[in-house]
Amino acid sequence: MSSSLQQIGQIGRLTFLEAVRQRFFNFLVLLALALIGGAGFFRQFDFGPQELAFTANFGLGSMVFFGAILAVVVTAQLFFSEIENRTALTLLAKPVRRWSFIAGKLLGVALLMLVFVALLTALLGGYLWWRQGQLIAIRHQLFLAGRATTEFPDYLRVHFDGLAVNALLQWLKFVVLAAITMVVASFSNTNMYTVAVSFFIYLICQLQYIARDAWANVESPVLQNLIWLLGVVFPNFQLYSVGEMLVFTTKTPVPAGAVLAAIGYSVVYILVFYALAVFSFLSREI
Amino acid sequence: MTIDRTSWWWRRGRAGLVIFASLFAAGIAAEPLQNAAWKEVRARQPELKLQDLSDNLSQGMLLGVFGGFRAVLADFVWLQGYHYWEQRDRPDLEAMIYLASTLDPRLVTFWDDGSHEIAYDIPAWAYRDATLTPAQQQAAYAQGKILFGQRAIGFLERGLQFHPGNYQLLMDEALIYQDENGLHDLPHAAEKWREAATAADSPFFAGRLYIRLLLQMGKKREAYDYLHNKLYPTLPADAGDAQKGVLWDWMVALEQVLKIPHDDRPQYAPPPGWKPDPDLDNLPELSGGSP
Repeated sequence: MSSSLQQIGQIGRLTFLEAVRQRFFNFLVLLALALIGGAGFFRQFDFGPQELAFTANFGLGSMVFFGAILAVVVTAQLFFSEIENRTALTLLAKPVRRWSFIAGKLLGVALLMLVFVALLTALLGGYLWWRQGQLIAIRHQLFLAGRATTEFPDYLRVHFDGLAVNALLQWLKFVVLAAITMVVASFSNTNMYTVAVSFFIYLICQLQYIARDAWANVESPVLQNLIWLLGVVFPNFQLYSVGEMLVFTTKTPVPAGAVLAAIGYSVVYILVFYALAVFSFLSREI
Repeated sequence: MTIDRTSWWWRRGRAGLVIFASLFAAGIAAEPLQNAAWKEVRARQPELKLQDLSDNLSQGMLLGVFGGFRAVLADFVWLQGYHYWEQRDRPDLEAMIYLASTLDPRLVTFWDDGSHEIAYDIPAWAYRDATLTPAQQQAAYAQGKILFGQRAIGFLERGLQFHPGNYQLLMDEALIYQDENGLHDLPHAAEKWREAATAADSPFFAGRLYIRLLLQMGKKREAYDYLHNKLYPTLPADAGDAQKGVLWDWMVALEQVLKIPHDDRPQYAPPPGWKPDPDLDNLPELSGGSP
């Protein structure tokens, strides 16, 4: 067992190193960092105290958008590079089990996504912290001069703990998405097919809540059952759209129980998609 | 009939069935977790009506909206609105304001700034219209102030559905109603000032402006009752911007004007350090109107 864990750790480490050397990863990270870093550009539009909310929305959106692309494309690339370069053959000829190989690959991608999410969150958090300090000071001066009625409102302050919780949830979502991509890659023959199908599944997962909402209002029993099935079979990625709710004060904050449920939900799906990728990969001819 | 277990169809069919069955079982097993989280997340997401968006968004953007990029797309739409504002393109600016606030009604800025643009900026563009004579510009401006004032009020009412009791939006409404060049609907303005003054986190000046408006409308008794029953006793003594000394002056002046019997006057003491203001320069409204 310990040797299997070592193998997984080793494959994971190598996968991670290979991924961070990829131009695609570096390009996306730089692009996302530039977008968040460039959020200061919006200051010229004078959003007043809500500037922070605007910047946070922009940063969180960049993370979700580029993270999803990265999770799908890098997972597919890393998997198929092993197949196309025949390194998978060499690796699996040694006493490395296929489930260890998949687990190692998934671990590598999970580490990569962790770095991505941590980098973007740190930059966004740093910017928001710096800018919030400035806005509080400006507002304080205005308040003392009698030109503002109140100090900087509490409800517009950034919750940095919420930002960290959001980062955790986004990371889990990306790992679920990487595991989905791994399932598709385990039976498909080309990188392109894997990327296309995975994005399609991602889209369904993002939109399945509409079907869930509509389910109760559909009259046709056949259609109703189909919609219900759709809602059951695909994970609900809208659970992770809580960034703004966690980062800023809302009348009713998201309870910790809901966050824990979302974490548990992610763990269940990571394990299920991992098991399915292993099942599919076991019967694959390399 | 024998089944060829090595055939592509058999292998793929079996794999597909296993995957489907596993996902179905996982979905059922994870349902309690999903419901626990989704119930909370859904309750905090503002409603979105497809018909509100489909006229203004491309299919790709619609997909982005429903796919979890609502807030970011709302921001981009709002920025696009700035472009139209610079171009003084009224129809497109209004469309962007409505669209951004529909996409993400949680941002008070959209309602606050949007209402200012509708009520104040758009009518003022009449003066930039070189095709009109100065008299026509003046007429278009006056007409626009009424029309767009009403639109801004409707817009703010929608905003208040998402932000009930938000003092900023209530004050926006009050100012638009009060605008001498626009709606100049003082009863409605007074109602909104009263709501704003009692809203959570409201600035102290909202209550003062409500009283001044009541005085302007000649409702001295109502102003006095509000001042000594509702406003003055609730203000903190240590907050400078509460201006309790000024309010005490107003109260004393109103008691004299309204000839309030001594026994009916409030029994509380004036604020510490208070000195009477004999001229009452800060309340010109007191000189006009009737009790």
